[in-house]
Amino acid sequence: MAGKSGASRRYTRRMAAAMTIYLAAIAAGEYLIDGGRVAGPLLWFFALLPGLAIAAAVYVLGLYIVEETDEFIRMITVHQALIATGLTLTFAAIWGFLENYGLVGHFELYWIVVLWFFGFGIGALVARAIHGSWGMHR
Amino acid sequence: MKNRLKVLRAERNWSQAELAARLEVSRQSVNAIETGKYDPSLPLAFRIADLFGLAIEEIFLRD
Repeated sequence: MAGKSGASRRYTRRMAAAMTIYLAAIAAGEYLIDGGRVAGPLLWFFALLPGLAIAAAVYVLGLYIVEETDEFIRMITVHQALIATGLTLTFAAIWGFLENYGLVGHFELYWIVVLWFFGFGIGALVARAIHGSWGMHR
Repeated sequence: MKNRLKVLRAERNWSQAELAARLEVSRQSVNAIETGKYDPSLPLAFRIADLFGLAIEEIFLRD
């Protein structure tokens, strides 16, 4: 197992699929919902689609952690996820209070997922510094 | 935890990648174990011991 593991390759393929659906859902939402072309159940379906694609991306990461057979790489990935979660929760709490006191503008909640994956990237830097490995990004 | 993995590997002229392939783990894992940055689980420690034909305590040493 010199290069990427089977689990890592599956992660890349599944994440690409989830992101493709996400981008298509965003485009469809802009055209169909913002353009006023759908109503009723279809409106709900297309409004839910981007969020469900993000849920799929989170599930894909969870699947990777379950399927990765290399315990060291798996530990690093879990460490990264904990760092990402800690940073995201901290940001949400701080921003929430600042917004409540009228010091900052409104933060659209769907950006929290982008922040989490940004935190996951920071987690990779921390993992490199602590464990000497980029983990799944090897 | 200290270990003799690097010495045992060198005695057999195996690269980290070769040892990793034999253990079915990543080269990063072998490197992390050798440098003491990561202590393997008991199942992996047994796989390492079996590969070298030694007991776990002959490879992994108390600090």
